[in-house]
Amino acid sequence: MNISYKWLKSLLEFELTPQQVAERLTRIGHAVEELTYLGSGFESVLAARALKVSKHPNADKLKLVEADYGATETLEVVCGAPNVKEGGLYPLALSGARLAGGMTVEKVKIRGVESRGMLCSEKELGLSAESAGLMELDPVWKPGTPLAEVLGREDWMLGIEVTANRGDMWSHLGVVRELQPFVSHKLRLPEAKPAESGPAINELTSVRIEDPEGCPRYMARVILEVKVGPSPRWLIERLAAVGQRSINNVVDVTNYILLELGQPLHAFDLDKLEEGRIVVRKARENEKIFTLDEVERSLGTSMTVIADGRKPVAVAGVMGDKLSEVDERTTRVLLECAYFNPVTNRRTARALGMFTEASRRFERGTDFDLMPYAVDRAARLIAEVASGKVARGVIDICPRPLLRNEVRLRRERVKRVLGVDFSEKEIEKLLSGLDFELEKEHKGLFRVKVPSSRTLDVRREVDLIEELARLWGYDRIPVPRRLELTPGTGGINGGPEWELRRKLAGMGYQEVLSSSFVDSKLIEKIYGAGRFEFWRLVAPISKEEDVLRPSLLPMLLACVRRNLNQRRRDLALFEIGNVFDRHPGEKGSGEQRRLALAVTGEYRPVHWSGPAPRQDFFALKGTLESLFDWLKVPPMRFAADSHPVLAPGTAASIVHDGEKIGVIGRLDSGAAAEMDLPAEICLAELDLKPVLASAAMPIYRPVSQFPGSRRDISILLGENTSCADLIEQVRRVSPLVAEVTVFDLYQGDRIPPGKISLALSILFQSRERTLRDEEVDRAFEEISRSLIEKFGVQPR
Amino acid sequence: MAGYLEKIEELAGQARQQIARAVSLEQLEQWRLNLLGRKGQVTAILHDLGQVSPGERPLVGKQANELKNEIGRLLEERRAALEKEQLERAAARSAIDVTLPGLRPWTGSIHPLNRTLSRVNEVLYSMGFSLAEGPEIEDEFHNFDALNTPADHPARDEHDTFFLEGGLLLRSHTSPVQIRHMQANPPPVRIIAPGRVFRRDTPDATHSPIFHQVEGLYVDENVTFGDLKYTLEQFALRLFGPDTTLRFRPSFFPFTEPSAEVDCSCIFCKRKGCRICKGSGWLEILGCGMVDPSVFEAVGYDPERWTGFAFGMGIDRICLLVHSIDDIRLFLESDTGFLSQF
Ligand SMILES: [Zn+2]
Repeated sequence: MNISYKWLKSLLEFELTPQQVAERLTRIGHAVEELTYLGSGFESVLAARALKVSKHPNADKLKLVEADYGATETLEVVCGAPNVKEGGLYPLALSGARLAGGMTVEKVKIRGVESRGMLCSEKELGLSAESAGLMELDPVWKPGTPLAEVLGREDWMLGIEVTANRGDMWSHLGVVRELQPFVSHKLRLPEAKPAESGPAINELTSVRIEDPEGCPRYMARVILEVKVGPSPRWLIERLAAVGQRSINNVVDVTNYILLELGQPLHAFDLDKLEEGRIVVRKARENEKIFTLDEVERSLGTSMTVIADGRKPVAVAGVMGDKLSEVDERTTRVLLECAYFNPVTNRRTARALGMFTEASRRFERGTDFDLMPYAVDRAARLIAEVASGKVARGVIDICPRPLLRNEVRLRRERVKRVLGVDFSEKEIEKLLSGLDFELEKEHKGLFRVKVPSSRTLDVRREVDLIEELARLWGYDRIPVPRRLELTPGTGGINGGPEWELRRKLAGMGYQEVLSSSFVDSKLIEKIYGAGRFEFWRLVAPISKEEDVLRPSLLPMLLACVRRNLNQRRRDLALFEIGNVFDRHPGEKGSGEQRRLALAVTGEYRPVHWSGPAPRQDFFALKGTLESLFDWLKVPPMRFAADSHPVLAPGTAASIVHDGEKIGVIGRLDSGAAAEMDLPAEICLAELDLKPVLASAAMPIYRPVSQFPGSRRDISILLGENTSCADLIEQVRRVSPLVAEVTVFDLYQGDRIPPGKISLALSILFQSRERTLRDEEVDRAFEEISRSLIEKFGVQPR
Repeated sequence: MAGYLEKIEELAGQARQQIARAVSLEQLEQWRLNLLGRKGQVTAILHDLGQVSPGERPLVGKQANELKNEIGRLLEERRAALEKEQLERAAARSAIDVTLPGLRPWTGSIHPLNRTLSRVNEVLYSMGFSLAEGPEIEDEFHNFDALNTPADHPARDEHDTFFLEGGLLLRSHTSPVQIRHMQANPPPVRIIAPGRVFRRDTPDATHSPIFHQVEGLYVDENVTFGDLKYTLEQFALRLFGPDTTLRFRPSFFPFTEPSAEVDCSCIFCKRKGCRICKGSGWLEILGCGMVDPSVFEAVGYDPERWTGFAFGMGIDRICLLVHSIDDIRLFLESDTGFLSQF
C-alpha cells in the first residue's frame, strides 16, 4: 500500500519525520519497505521570475535573463528558449543541481557571458519526454518557492507491506490510527456533511436488497448537476503522490475516498440505470456483464450483482460495467457505498480472475460503522470538485447489521502467553491508544469493545494479546533464560539417511537435488505409456513440468546431460528425494523416498601414472555393495532383469528379503537417444525405506588369530551359470571357507566358445585353530567335486 | 738398512696415493690385498725383518708396523667413504619428483542446501529438538484448515498453491508436519521438520517454485513469547556465531499469534550496513510466533492448558546468504561446477 506522508498529516497532527513514521510503523508490524522523497530531482530548483530579458551580446539565438529567485540579489542566466518572456515564472536550477533529466547544472561561460544557473524545460526536469520550451509555472507562486512544492511533490511516499489480517491498513485512515499511540494529538476526520439541496433522494431512485447475505448494508447518495471534467490540482497531486493516475473529477473522488478511508465506492450515471433504480441480488446463471475493463464476463448464481431495473450493472464489490459508467455527459451521479460479504466477494473475484482495489478491501472486511461518514464525505467532495448539488437525504438499507465485537481479556492469560506481567492500567492504556474500549468486569478481567475497523481481525482474546505485544514492543518482552535446551533424540547426525549422504560424498559421489516436476510426455516416451499413474498438476508452470516425478532417474539423466554439455565427462552423481506414483495398489499417495545414482566416464581424474578404469556397471554395483556392507543390511541379491530405460542384458533388479527394491544397469540406447545422451551411463535407483529400516548396528566378531590358507581354482562354466550361485555353493559346501574372491575372468579364443573361465581364490580359515594342510585339501577337493556335480563345470 | 727404511718410505707414499684414488670398494679391496694380503708388499717387509741387522731391527720393525697400521686405518676410512657414496648414489637413483601431482580419487560432496540444512538440524538438535517428517503431497486440512487458514482467507494468496488432480496439493510450507505430529503425539512437543515445499512462484534469482524449509515447534505448559525469543536467540548464536543479535518485528501468520518476523544482525558487516543487507545491517531470516489457540483446537490439545511457539525458515535463503550465492535457481540446476564448490 502506497501512503503519502502529507496525506497522513492532513488527518492527524504530529511532529514525526517521514523516517520516524516509517520506523514506528515497522516496529508495530507494518513493514515499510520503501520510503521515497517525491521531490527528488528537484533539489536546488526554484521558481524564478524573469525580470528583464535582453539580447546576448555575442549570439543571435541566446538571451540574457535577469531572474528573481527570492534572494536579495538577482541572478543572470543565459537562455535559448523561445518562450521566455519578461514577467514569466520558470523553474530555475541553481549550479550544483542534479536534474532528473540527467543533467548536472554548473556555472559556465556561454559565448563569453557567465551563466550562473539554468532555466529548465519539462524534459530537462524529467517531467516529460519532449518539450518545446521552458516550463511555465503558475505566476501565483512566489519567486524562490522550491519547485517540489510548486509541483506538489514536497512529500514522501511510504510503501507498506500490509499483512493479510489487516484489511484496515489499505487506507491512510488505517495507518493514522496505528500512529496515534506515538503522538499526543487525536485523529480528527474532516467535516463530511454535505450541503443538501433540491429533490429528496427517494424521489430520484430506490434501492432494494434481495441478497442480504451477500450485501448486509447498502447506502447511496445522489449528486445532481454534476460537470464531469478534470480534477483540481490538489486532487491530482494527492493521487499522484501514491502513484495513481487522475481520470476525471467524479472517479477521482471515489478513488480518493478509497485511499483515504478504505471504503470502496462506485459512481453510476443515474440516467443510464434502467428504471433509475438499484437492485442488489444474486446473478442468474450465465448472466452476462461487459465490465469496465471491456471484457464480457459470464456470471454464476453464487455471485452478488448490483442491477438496475433489468440487468446487472456491476459485479458487487469487484467492478462496474461499461454501460453505466460516468462519462463527460453525465449529470446525475448515484454514489454507492456498500458492505459486501468478504467470503462471497473473494470467491467471486477468484472465479472471475479479477482482483481489484475494491475487491482487495471488501474481501478483507471494510469498516461497517464508517459507511455513513464515507458516503457523506464523498458526496460533499464530488459536489465541490464537479460543482454539483447533493440531493436531500441518504439511502441506508441495512438488513444485517454488523455489531462490534466484544472480547473478554484476562490479565493472567496475557502473562501466560507473553511472559509479561502487565498492570491493569498498562493494559487499558495500550489498548485504548488504538480505540479499543475497555470495561473492567472484575479484577483481572476486561470486556473489550473492538473498533468497527477491526471486526474481522480481532475476535478472540489472543488477538488482543497480540495487540498488547506489538504495542508494548517485542524487544521489551523479557527473555527468561529458563528453557532447558538439552539435546533431542534421533542423533546429531540426523539418522541413517544423512550417514548415507556423507558416505556417498566420501566415496566421490556428488549430491544433486533436482526438480520434482517432470514432463509426462518424455517419461512416457522413454518408459512406455502406462508404466506410471502420474500425479498431475492442475496448473503446471510449463507443459514440460506437468507431473510429479515418478522416478528420480529421468531428472538425474538430465543432470548428467547438463554436465556432459559442459564437457565434464567423468561423473558420479546421486540424489535422495521423493517420487510419486499413484499406481493402483500403492498405499496413500504413493510417495516414496528413493536413492538414485548415475556414473559415467573414468573412475578417477586423469593421472600421469596411467589410465583409470571406467565407471561401468561393476563400479556402480561395487558402490552399492560397499554401502550395503557398511549399513550392515542383510545381503542384497542382484538378479538379471529387464527395465525400460536399461539396456537388455545389462539390467538387474536389486532384491531384498524376496522383494524387488531397486534396479541397476546401463542406459538403454533408445532412451539415450531420446534424451540426447551417450549410452555409456550406468544407473541405479532404490527405495530407501527398506534399506534404511534394515540397517543394523555393527556387531563385533573376534578377528581370527590363526593363519588361513588359500587355494585357487579355475572353472570353465557355461554363460548361463551365474557367479553368485557358484560362490554360494562354495560357501555352502565347507564351513571352513572364510572368503571367496573372483580374481580373473576370461572369455575368448583359448577356451571353447560360449564358455567363461572364472578364477576363484578361496581362503580357508578357522577362529579356533590353525588348519592342517590335509583338512584344507580335503575341503577344497570336496568343493571342486560339488561344483562339477552341481553345475557340470570343468576345473581347468 | 738405509735400503729398508727408504723402501718403507716409498711404499707409504705409494699406498697413501693408491688408497685415496680408489673409486670403488672392489678396487680398494685389490689395494688391500696388494698391501696387506698374505703376499702383500707390507706383509713382505715384515716377513723380511729377520734379514735386517739386529741393531737396526727395532727401528725398521717399528717403522714397518706403523706403516701397516696407517694403511689399515686409511683403508678403513676410504671404505667408509666409498660405502657412503654408494648409498647416496643408490638413493639418487630411486628418488622421485615429489612435486608431481598425487593420485586423487573423485571428491564428491553434499548438496549445499543439505549442507546448510544439516548445520541447522545439528544446532536445533543440540537445543532439544527432534526430527519429524511428513509427506510432500498434502491435503487442504493439514496444509491450511488446521493451520487456521480456512478456504476464502486472504492469507491463502501468499501461498500460491500447486493443486493436484483429485483435490490434493503439494505442501506450501512444512507447517502441516506440526499438525500431523500433534495429532499423533500428546504434548509436550519439541520437534523440527525439514523438507521440500512448493509454491507457484515465477522463477527468478530469488524465487523458485520448489524450495526448502525447516519448521520448529515447542509446546508445553507455560511456554511464553519470552521463551520463544530465548530459543531463537540461542539458535542464532549457535548458528551464526557469538556476536549475533536478533530483532523481532510484529507480523502476521494465520497459525501463530502474536507473530513475528525475525531479522538477524548482518553476518557480513555486523550491522554496519553492506550490499548484502542493503545497508540496513539486518537480514530477514525467519518467521515465528505463539501457536494460535485454534491450531491446538484442530489437533485436540487444550489451548487453555498448553501454550507453545513455532518458527520456520527458508533453507535456500540461509544457504544463499551464508555462501554468497546470487541465484536461487543454481540449487536445482545440478551443475557440478557449482555443486563441487561446497
Ligand atoms: Zn550487511
